[in-house]
Amino acid sequence: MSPQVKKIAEEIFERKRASRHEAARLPIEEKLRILVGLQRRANEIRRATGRPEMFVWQLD
Amino acid sequence: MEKTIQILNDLEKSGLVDRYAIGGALAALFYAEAVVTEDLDAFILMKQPANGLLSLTPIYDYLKARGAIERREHLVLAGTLVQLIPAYDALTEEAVRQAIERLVGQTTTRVMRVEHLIAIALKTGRTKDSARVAMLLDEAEVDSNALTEILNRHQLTDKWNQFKTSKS
Repeated sequence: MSPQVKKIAEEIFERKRASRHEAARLPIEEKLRILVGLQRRANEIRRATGRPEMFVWQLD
Repeated sequence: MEKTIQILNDLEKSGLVDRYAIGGALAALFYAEAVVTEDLDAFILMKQPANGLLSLTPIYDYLKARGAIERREHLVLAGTLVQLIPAYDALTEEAVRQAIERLVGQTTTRVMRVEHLIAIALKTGRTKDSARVAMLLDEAEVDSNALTEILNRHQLTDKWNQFKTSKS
C-alpha cells in the first residue's frame, strides 16, 4: 500500500477516535437522548429484517 | 429517566434492598460514548429476611404498586426497561458497595465505578463484554492502580492477560 494512502487512512482513524472521545465527554442527559435515537434506529433495522423490536425508552 | 431513578431511590429508602447501583451498558454510558442498549441493569444488594428465604417478590410488588409493569424478565419503570439483578458474587457486591453518586438532571443515582465495569465485563466474557472493555479502556479515565487491585482481588488477572493478548 502506498504510504500516502496509509497516511490518509491513519488521519481518518485519528479523527474518528477524537470524535468518539468527544462523544464520551457529552453530558449524560445528551447521551440518553442519543441512546433513545439509537433504539429507534435499531428498530427500523429490526423491522426491516423481521426481528422483534427493542423497547424504546420514554425520557422525562 | 429521572422518574425511574427516583423510584429506585425510593425502593432503597423503603428498606426492601440495602443498596442499588446501575451497572452494565447504561453505566458505561456515564464514561464512554452512547451505544445502544435496551435495558437499565440495576444491581441490588438484597436484605437477608428473618425467615432466610430471599425473594424478589416483595420488591416487584413494591414497584408494581408504583406503576411498574412486568415485561418478560424486565420491569417497565416510568418508561424505562429495568432489569433488577441481585449482586451475585463478591465482585458485583463490591461494585454496588463502592458505586459512586452521579447526577442525571436533578436526580442523584449511583453508578458502578468504571474499573468495576471493566472487571465485570472481563469476568462475564461475552463478545459484547470484550467490546465494552475495549471501549472503556479507550474512552474513559481508568485508574489503572484501582483496576489492577480489583483484578487481583477477584482472580481476574489471567482473563486480563488473555484480553490484552487478544488485542495486541
